Amino acid sequence: MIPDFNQYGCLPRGVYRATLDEVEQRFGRQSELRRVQMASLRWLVDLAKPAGVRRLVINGSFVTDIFEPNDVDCVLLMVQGFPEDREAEPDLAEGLPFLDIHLVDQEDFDFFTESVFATDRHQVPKGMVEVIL
Amino acid sequence: MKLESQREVQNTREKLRLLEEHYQHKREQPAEDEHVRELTLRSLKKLINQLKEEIARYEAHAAKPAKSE
Repeated sequence: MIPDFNQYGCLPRGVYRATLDEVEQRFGRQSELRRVQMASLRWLVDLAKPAGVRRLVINGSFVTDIFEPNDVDCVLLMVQGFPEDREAEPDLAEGLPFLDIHLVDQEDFDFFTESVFATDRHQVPKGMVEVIL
Repeated sequence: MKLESQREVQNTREKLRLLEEHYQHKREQPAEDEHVRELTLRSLKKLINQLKEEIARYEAHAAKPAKSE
């Protein structure tokens, strides 16, 4: 379950697992911009699954209480042999509208989720959401 | 993201330093899968460049002289 925002408008520290429908319910309906960002996120999931992405974590202003987020930061875990479906890779690598996509290996997935994206610009710990693939 | 104070710039610089160290370390390591490593390095570089841009934008704005009346 995705917890309430803290006093800074962010999720509390941690990575919270949620289905895509739960993500939409919580973050994807509050403004027109959020609705189109959510549509891009669904598109990303449709590409990530056949490509063999193992985990997908959403970070940044999309998972805060900001009415119109700048973009949706996404960290995607790849494993050896990626991509399973070569046709899915170009769109993932070149990007999708409103999404800032980071394709990384296990070491960097941990580095991003436990260090780089784990605090905000004030170094206050913040949470992220993992989409259940 | 737009940086709004010197403190935010300092925190961003620290994050940038960590990322650059990590990037360098990764480049020197042997890879189990060269393609996966290449994509990972590209993601790291993209984030490094984003942070550099944010710092440069703040500094450019801070260095701008005040408009005279």
